[in-house]
Amino acid sequence: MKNFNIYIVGLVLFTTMLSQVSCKKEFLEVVPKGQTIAITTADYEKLLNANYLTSSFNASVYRGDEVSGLQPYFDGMSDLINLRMQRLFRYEDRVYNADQVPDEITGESNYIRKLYLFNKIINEVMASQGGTEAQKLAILAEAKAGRAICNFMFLSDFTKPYNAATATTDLGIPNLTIADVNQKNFKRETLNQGYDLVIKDLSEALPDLGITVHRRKISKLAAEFYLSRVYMAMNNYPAAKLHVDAAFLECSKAAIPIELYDYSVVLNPDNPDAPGSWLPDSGLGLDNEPLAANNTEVIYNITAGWFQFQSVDAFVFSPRTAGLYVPADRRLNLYSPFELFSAKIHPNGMRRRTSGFFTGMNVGPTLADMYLMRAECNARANN
Amino acid sequence: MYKISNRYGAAYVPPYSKLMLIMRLTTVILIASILQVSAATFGQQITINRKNATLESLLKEIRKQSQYDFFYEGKIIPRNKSIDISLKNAGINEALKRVLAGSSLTYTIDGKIVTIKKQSEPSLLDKAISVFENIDIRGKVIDENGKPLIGASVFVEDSRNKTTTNEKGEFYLRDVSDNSTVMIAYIGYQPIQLNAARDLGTIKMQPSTGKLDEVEIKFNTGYEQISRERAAGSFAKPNMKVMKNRTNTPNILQRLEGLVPGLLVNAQAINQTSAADMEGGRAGLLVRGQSSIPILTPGTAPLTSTTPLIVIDGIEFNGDITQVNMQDVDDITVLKDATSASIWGAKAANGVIVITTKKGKAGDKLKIDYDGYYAFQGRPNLDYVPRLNSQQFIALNRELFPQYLLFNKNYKTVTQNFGSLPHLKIQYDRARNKISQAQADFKLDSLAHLSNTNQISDFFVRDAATLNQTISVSGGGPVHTFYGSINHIGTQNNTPGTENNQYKINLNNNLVLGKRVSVSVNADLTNTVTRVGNTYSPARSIVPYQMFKDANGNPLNINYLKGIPTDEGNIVLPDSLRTIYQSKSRIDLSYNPILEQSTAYTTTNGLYARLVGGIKVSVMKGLDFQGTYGYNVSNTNTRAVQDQNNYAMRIQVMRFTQAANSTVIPVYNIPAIGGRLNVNTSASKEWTLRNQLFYNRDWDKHQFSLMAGQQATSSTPVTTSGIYYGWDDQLQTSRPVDLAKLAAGINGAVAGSADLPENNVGGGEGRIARTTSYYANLGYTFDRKYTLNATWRIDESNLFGRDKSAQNRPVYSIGGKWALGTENFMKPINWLNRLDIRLTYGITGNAPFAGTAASYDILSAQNDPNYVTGAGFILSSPANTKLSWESTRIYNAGIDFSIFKDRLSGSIDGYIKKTTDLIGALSTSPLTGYDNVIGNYGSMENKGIDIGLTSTNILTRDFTWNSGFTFSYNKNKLTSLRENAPTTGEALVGTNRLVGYPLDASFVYNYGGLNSVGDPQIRRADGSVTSEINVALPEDILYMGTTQPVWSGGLQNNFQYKSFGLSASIVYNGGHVMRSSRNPTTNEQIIGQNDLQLGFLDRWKVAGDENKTEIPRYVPSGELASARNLSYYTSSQRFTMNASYIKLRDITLSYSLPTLVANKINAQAISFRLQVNNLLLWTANDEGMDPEFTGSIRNAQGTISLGAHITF
Repeated sequence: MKNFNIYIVGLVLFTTMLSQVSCKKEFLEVVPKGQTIAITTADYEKLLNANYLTSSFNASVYRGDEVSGLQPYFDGMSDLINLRMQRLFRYEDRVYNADQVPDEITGESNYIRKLYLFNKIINEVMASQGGTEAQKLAILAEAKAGRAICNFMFLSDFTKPYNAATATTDLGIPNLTIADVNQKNFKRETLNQGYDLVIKDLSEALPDLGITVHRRKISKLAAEFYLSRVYMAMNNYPAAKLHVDAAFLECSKAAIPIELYDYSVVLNPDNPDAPGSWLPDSGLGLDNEPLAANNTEVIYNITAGWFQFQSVDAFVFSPRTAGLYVPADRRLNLYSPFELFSAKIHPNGMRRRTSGFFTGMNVGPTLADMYLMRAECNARANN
Repeated sequence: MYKISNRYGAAYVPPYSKLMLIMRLTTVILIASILQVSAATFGQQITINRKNATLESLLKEIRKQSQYDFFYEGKIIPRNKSIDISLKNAGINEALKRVLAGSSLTYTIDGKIVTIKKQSEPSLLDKAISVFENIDIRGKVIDENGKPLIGASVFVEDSRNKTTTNEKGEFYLRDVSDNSTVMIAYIGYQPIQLNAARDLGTIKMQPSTGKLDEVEIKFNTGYEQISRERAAGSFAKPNMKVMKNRTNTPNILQRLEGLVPGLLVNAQAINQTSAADMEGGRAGLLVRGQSSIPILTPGTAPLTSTTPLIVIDGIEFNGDITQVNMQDVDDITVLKDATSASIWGAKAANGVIVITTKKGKAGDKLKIDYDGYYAFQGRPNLDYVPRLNSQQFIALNRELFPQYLLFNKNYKTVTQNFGSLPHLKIQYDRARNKISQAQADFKLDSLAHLSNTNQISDFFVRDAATLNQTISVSGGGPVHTFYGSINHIGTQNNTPGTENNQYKINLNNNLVLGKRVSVSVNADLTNTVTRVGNTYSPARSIVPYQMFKDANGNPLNINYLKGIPTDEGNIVLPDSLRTIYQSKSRIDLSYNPILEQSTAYTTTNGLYARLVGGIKVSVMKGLDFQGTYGYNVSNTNTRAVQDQNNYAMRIQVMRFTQAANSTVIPVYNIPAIGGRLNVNTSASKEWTLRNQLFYNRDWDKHQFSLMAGQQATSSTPVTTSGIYYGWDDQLQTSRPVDLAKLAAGINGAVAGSADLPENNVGGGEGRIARTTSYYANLGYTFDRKYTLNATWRIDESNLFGRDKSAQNRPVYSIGGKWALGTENFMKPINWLNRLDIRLTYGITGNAPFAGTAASYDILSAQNDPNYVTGAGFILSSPANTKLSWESTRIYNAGIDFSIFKDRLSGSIDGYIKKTTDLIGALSTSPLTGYDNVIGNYGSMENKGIDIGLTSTNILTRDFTWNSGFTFSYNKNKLTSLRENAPTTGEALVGTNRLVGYPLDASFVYNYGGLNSVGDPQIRRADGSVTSEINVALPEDILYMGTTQPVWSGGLQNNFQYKSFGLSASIVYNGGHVMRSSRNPTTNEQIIGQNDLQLGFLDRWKVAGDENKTEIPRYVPSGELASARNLSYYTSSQRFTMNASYIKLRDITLSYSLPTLVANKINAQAISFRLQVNNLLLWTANDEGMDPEFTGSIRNAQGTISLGAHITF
């Protein structure tokens, strides 16, 4: 009997021990394999490496003066994406159904979604493990510049044009600085506060940003470009000039080529075999158009997707736009005169976009933009 | 032991003297029968009434009255035996039988001669004759200790002849047919069957060990066994006999159909679910309605499960249920309400099915059982929904082509979209004047005379069948008992070239180590071996004239059937392009469905082990420690081999081939010699540790039990994969490829740039799921009338959020039961045998699947040539620290009754289930960056009634008739959902859930007929009709009902007549709607496929037809097609119908061989059964559609199976 009692005591001890093992907090706090969470500085860097901004079906495209709607395709469009295009084209008051959330906000690589990512990095990276202070600051700077770009896009889509006289009372955007899906209270700040945050983020980021090494990595060049753009949007051309000049200086330091294409070569249909030619056109876009990451004109790539089968032939550039191109203009090769999968020619010289059919096109800062911006600044300064 | 004998002076009669007698008698018979043809029929009437008479005197009296002559040897007649007899107007036979009864004498009558002789060792002939003779039998019955058993029943099977043993345990039965079976029964002992013999000797009866347990119904919760008397919860048990005999599926869960009230086995859902989504054989099962919305949007991975938790031998089972052998199953209990199920905590809300497997019984003799069946399932009906035949198809094409041509003049564009279809090529050739009208007519006519129906049936479909065999052994002594079985299931499905075998071993050992400790070890191993060939799966949309072999039997190339296979589907490859690719790559790109069959195969070998160990220690009186330890591991290896002739392989090689034209030497970046091997391994391991203390005490009027314990579980999946290129399956060798080059993309490849993003090795450890739980359960019964049950449990898991509010949510239940029928004031009600009233309330939970949500921002790796370093992390899901399990409150009220001497018994339960915190896409403020996150976002309600009845309708010794009936009614309603309600009619038609309606709601347009050009219109809420698109609003939409059965159940009838059994099992479902498989419309502008049904021929054609038909017109262009909305018709009430039906799921005829025959092959029992499955008895719809099949094909019905069961 005594032996037995020892056995029982042992058993109870064993049981208690087992429960101890399984009750430990760590037992449940496992990070599942096959996915990860951000812990090290390198993790945050990898997050930025795969990060990019896009916008799809930009509202301004369908409201633009250069676009025409073509029947019967226009009336035949039926699903939500297409109905939105119809309504935008008609300048209707209501663009979305009551049960819809705007695409501008829900897009997976749109600026609102990216604000979550940039805010997460801004708030967490300095406490990350394993990196040097300089590495962390560089990542922080990239994220801050990224946040500024997002907020600038957000302001452009949803607020009035900046007017210094009314900017302190005009409604801006909620300045988003926290990454938490359970947040519920959002308040629109003033337009001034919005632009202030953008300039502050860009200015703070500048010292820690590097030279241009990749067209999807935010560099000092991109930040200078955006500062110039923001000041232009604020009608502050002298400040814009300073930064666009600084940007040109950065161009020369870039580790990758930043230069314009010769369209008379790359878009010459008579010589599709020329080195660097983007041709031929397979019917679904130019076969050899460079990837966004390799396009030498791009400073920081932001892609605009527009591919939607139903609307391919519904939106074409207008006869007036067509009139702006002389027949020999090589850029016409980015557009097709034919209906999709057909030999039927669009009327009145109207054409549909084919280039970037699946990949979308770059709408981020380019070298060409910089020349135009500098020209405008000079013109405004009467230079 | 002593013998009772009425012989005296036991004289030996030599056999030959008997033979002589027979010969003599035969002579007499011959003569007598010639002379007096019908003497025997003039039977004399004999009347004798005497007491204490000697046999000799009686015989003399009979001789006198009957005038028969008697022959017998004087010394065989017993002298001192006295007989009491009373005969009145009896015949000679009756008189002789009565007089000689009890003696060892027998008689024969030949003509008017009666011969009396001693019963001796019978000759063969006598044996044959004696089959029809009656004997008297005697014997003695003793108990297991050798003491006489007094009052044991002794009776002859199939007769009214019976007696009981006397005070010495002896019995004596007269006039027993000597080929009959004698039954001996005594309460508490196992009944004995013996073949009738004059002297049965001493018969020792064995106590029936499990007998008392069997009488007492026990419910198993997986944690403990509760006797019915002490259970307040809502439990149900199926009729195991019906389940065991069902052969339409080896899946034991599907065999539960119609047998358990409250459990819906939705055959339609099962038929529609792909093999990959069967959830281990659980799909289509619902206990008391659906209380979760598992899938967010179609095509996404489920977040939760709606199917019940499966528990085998106390351990949660997440594997494939088809690996459980029905023959190994001892018992099944279904837990439905909170009191029965909440011991399973956060996994109990969908109900729990507790399965226990067979164990050996101490004291049993070694018992060997064989059970096997062959089920012939035949071929599916491919033409369940009739389509156009070749003639109709070609005629239709001729009719429509001129309209189509107006809009599609370019043949090249057509081939880009539809491939190079023969009938289109002919028509375009004619249109382009390449051939004459006569040539075109001739070609089209010849197509119209071809039909591929038979070839499809011959080459790509075969009969399905299942062979399922089990041998089991059980036995054991007081220390060790065991049960073991081996099982093989061979399944032949409808696809030729497929082999599917499952082999199983199950071993169940129980050891008693002294008085206090007992240990059990259960090992169940399953090996599945499958081989799948590369058989073409015949889409019914193929044009009906397309043959697969020509008239000479040569396999035909049918290139348009396959383009370039991609992840997004098939890219059409016109013949012109195919020729170019072919000449550049030098690779044959023709597609031949018949020859393809031998170019690839996939083998799968799976090994699954279910190991359960248990220990039970009696700590002190009433207190036990129980430990249960489960380990489930599985490992599946898949090898998919494609040889170099395989079409997909050839296409892949071609896509990565660089060759500017057909003269340069092509560069094969993927080897053109050899094929490809894909290997995949997926493994999982799960363990459960459970330690609990169990206290049980009965005193006076109190019965008390308390259980408390702790449990931890963990499960981890692991996968690996590898791809070998240039694979030679004979030599088992592969060739290297430059993956870095392939991943970067091959420029200037034959069919345009191609890249191969995936690595050739992959896999890894999957998402681990862990839980730790504490629980307690209390049961108290007072005076065997009033019972209280209570349960408490807390689950913590890495599947829920980090937040305290997410983890710290215990479940509990409380329930009471009143055995009203045992109250004294109920005693006068004689017909009532039992009446219990139960009331329970409690909470159960439903946990998300692993990986559904996380407490942290989850990052995943991604590669892209545009990324800064080519690779990086993306934020795949944002953190939600607040996710918690779904919580279901269940109210249950029930009564159990038994009336008319237990002839009719049953249970009726009513319940309300209120589920809150449904897991799904919780709408969040879009400004956070995410407009939704996986969270707790809604609530719903299920109300219903479960009725289960069993009755014994007729019970005689030879004939019994039992019935079982189940009825389940469930009303489901979504009460809240934090997502935006549809604001357009189109969105509402597209959804199947809306607050205020049941799940799986069916919303349709109100069809308004055709307009004047033949396009469909809707009738709007204001009564107006329109064909305009995008105008419908939610109020214009009709609600038709739910597609989930509202009521369901089954009716079983079992008839037993002697050795024959007949059972019929009916299932029924109703109260729901379904969509008709008919669709007489098309929006396809070209008739390039044969999706068209016959109704299309009756479509609108000319103005005015809108008054005759409601089928929309054909439109020849995409523009016209997109200007109308065909769903105004196809998604209208015209295609919604009542889905109620009744089906005879199985009818089984069984026959048990007589024990005598069974014994001849040393078996104790042999039975055979014949079953017919699936006879549709009634449907509510008038189209004759079987609601179990809403697709375009229907499985064979009225299939047959044969089975046998042998016990050694």
